[in-house]
This record gives sequence, C-alpha cells and structure tokens, in this order.
Amino acid sequence: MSVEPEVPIVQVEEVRENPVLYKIISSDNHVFTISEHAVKLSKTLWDLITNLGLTAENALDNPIPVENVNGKNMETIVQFCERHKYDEEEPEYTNYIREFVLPEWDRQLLSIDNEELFQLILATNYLDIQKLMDYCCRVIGDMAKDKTPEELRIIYGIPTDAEDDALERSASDSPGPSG
Amino acid sequence: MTSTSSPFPLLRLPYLALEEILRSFYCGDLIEISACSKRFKRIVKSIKNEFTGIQIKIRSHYFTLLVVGKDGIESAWRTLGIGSAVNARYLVLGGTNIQIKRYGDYFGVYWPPQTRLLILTSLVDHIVDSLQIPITSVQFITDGFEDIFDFVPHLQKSRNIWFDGSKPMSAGDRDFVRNNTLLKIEKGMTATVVSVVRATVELSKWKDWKRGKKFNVPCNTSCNI
Repeated sequence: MSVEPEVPIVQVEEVRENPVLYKIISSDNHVFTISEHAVKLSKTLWDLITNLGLTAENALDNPIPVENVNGKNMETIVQFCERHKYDEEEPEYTNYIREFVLPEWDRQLLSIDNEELFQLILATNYLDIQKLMDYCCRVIGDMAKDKTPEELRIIYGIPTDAEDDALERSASDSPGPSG
Repeated sequence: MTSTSSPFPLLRLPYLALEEILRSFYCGDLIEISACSKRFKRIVKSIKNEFTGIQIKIRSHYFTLLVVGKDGIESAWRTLGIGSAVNARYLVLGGTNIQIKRYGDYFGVYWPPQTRLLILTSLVDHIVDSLQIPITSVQFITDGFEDIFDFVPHLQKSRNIWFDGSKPMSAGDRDFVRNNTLLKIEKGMTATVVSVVRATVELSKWKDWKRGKKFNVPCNTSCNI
C-alpha cells in the first residue's frame, strides 16, 4: 500500500449520499476514488476489500493497487460502476443478453477503438464486473449482426483453415526451448 | 460506434470472456461464424448454448428448418422461391456452396433440384455439429416426393420422423424406415410410433389428429411396423 501516485487523484464522481469511499491505484499509478455501492459491482475488488478488512474509517488510507488495469481503462470502469451502482438486478432469462438494448450513455462510453475495447474486456474480466461484461459483449456481438463469414473473418481477425494450418506447421517446425 | 480500422482480436481473449461474447451472439450469427474456420467451429461447439433442437419439414421442392430455443424459434431457414436466388451470396459448409439470402434471423436458401440432398444435409450437419443440438423432428410431406427415401437415412438421428401424405405407406417403405432410422419402437413410446405409422391411419382419424385430437397407437400396431 505504499505506492505514491505520480498524477493527481482523479475524482470521477463525487458521492455525497454514501460516505464510504475507496481508493484504487491503476497499473500506471493513477489514483481513483470509488464509492462502496459502485465498487461492489466488481466481484474481484469487493472480495479484496472484504479480505483486507477495509472499513469506512481506514479505506481512504489504504489505496488498492490493481496492477492489471491501466488508468484509461480504470477511468472507464469507475465511470461505469458509478453510473450503474443503483441499478436493479438484471432479469435472468435465456435471451436477456441478446435482447436488451444498450443504453445510449453506455454506447457512447464503449465507442472506442477495437484494441481499447479488447483491453477493457480483459480488465472487466479480471475485475469480474458482470454488467460491464454483458454490455461489452453486446457491443462485440452487434459487430457480427447479419455479417457473412468472410466479413466476420475480417471483423474479428479469424484466420482461415489454411492460415491456421500454416501457423500450426511453423509452430511444430520451430525448435523447442532447448533447441 | 466502434472503429473497424483494426480487427477485434476475438481469439486473443481469455476463454471465459470469449465464451461470454459468443453466448451473446444471435443464433444466425453463431451459425455463420462457425463457418469461418474449423478452429472457430470447434470453439463454438465447446460453448454451452440455450438452443434445444432443430425441427425440419420437407416436401419435394421446399423445406423449412427451425432452430428452436427455450424461448421459441431462434433461426429459420427456408427455401427461396424460384428466381429469388439473384444476388444471393454463398455460404460454404463442409465444402458445399449454398446460395443464401439473409433477412435477420431468417435465411432464404436456394434449393436447386439436382443438389437438394447435398444442400440440406450440409446445412443440417453444420448446425447440429456447431450448436451441438439434436434434430427433434422431421416431417416429410410424401405426396410427389419421389426420392424421399434418399433423404431418410441422412436424417435418421431425428427423435421423431413423421410422414404425411394422402396415400398409406407400403410395407416395404415402412421396412425401409424401420431399417434406416434410429427410432426405437418399444411399448410406451407411442409418440415415436405415431410418427411412423401416421400415414397409414385412415383419413378421418388423421384429420382429427391434425385438429389436435390425440390418439394412442396400441402396442400391437407398433409391432406391425
């Protein structure tokens, strides 16, 4: 817990109604504050907070380092969690993930380029934020809508059988660690 | 919207994230993406989905194939009308070129007479294999369907096979069905038995049945199949 922030604290959203705030430090030493309701959306962070025994009294004095997530992604994640912290539980039915309509605010938030979206999904997966994962899935699933296999191959960078075979051959031809 | 300048590297995702994303795909998109490569088909096969089975109805020049899930029809494939194949694109399944037109979850399939069997079996095999779901029912409309028994062995794994027609099936035809399907005719499996003997039932009872009146086939009837 001794990481010294190199940049000013990013106050994403002031939370007046909930006095319990936590500090999170990203891999590039950006510091974020996040409310208790919001941080609960991340199973990983909330488990960490619980296991560390952080309380309202000592939370701000004990920033949580998250080494797998950079500041840019963390900012998006904190914004998302603050936005959705009071949402009701999602309905659990078969086609929920395919049928829900992505709210405009979230669509804007996730309008980022593919590499950034990929990194955000890795971060979301690591922090175990189900709702954000659902939303990212919707965005990525929408890219596939009504596309041909050839178009899908380009959109998702899927190699052809011949390319897969060539990769496999080159992998098996390359010398091992001792060679 | 998300930029399309660089591909979204789906295959670089951790498996759980990839699984989650593929589970958010619509059925038709999942069928199409599993045609991208053998590797991707293996991935789609490994993903648990909510689809429950395939229902097929075939007559001599027309078929419908429905992929059904817990909440109803997820994807429908149907013969394109004559002349509708203009501007259709190709979907390559197991080396077979299938001309299709897509309208959301509905796919129109060009079904030329000379390659009907190949197209249907390629399509069915691809969907069954990719989505790992069973064929729950096949309904043959027998009138005017001269090569019907070329199709039966390819759909033999269906849980139910129905033969609808104005003429009863001959004993030889029934033998063929018995010998070329996996239907087990046992006491208590009346639903399956009804399917096979349906065409032998006299017309009045048949109309009642179609109106929703269910009748039971006695066990000794099943023994005659």
